[in-house]
Amino acid sequence: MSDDPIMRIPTALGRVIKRLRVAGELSVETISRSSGLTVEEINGIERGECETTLTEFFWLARALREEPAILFTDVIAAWRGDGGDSALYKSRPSEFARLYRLGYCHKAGDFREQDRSYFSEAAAMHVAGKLNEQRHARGVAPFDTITLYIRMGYSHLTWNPGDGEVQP
Amino acid sequence: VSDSNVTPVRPEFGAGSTVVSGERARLERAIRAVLGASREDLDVSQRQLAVKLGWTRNVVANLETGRRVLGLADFVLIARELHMEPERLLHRILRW
Repeated sequence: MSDDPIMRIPTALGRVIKRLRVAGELSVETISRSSGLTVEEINGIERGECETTLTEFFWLARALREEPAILFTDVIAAWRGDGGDSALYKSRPSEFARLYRLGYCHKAGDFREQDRSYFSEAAAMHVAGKLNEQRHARGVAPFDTITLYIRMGYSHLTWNPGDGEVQP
Repeated sequence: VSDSNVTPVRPEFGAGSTVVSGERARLERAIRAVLGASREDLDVSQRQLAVKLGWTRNVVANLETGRRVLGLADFVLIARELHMEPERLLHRILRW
C-alpha cells in the first residue's frame, strides 16, 4: 500500500461501487449500459485498478441509482477508514436524518472518523470525554470534531478538549 | 432514447450508454468553475496550486478550462491542497 493516502482512493471507490452494485442486484453489464463505461472498465474500477474521472463518477452514481453526494461521502468514508485508525464505516448517512460522528484531522486531507455514530451532540461529546482519556493514555490524537450529517450535508463542531468549548 | 438532446457517451459501446448532453455540459462547466472559484477564493494562483500539487501551471489551467479531464483522485488532492473537505468541494459543484 502506498504511503500517499490519495493512492488508496481507487481501492475505496471500487469497494463501495461493488458493494452497492451487489446490494442493488445490478450486473456489471447493467452498470456498463447505464454509465457508458465498458464492462472491463467497471471490473477494473471495482478492483481499484482504474482511475476514474469525476464526470464518470457522476455517471456511476446514476447507474447505481445513488445521489452523487451520498456516494461520494461513502467513498471518502471508505477511503479515510482504509488502513487507518479502525474507522470502518458501518452505517450510511442516507439512513439517518441526523448522524453525529466523532473524528479528528490526522493531517491535511486525512480526516478520520470513529466507526460509531450518535444521535445527539451531547451524546457524542459525552462519549468523546471518556474515549479521549483512553486515547490520551494510548498517546493517540484526541477526538476534537463532531461531524454532523444531515442527509446529504454536514457541518463540523470543533472544540478544545481542554476547556470543552464548542465552536461551529 | 430518441431525443436530439441525448447523445451516446461512447457510441462505440452500445445504444444503452446515454447521457443527456446538456446535463454533461452543465456538470463539466460546474467542475471547471468550482475549481477556479475555490482556488481564487483562497487567493491562490494557478502556479502556486500547481507547485503544491507537483504539477505544471498548464495542468491546472487545462483542468480549469476543460482541456484536461479531472480524475477523482486528483479532485480529492486539489481539495486537500485548498484545505477543503472533498465533500464540501463536491457539494459546491452540485450547487453550482
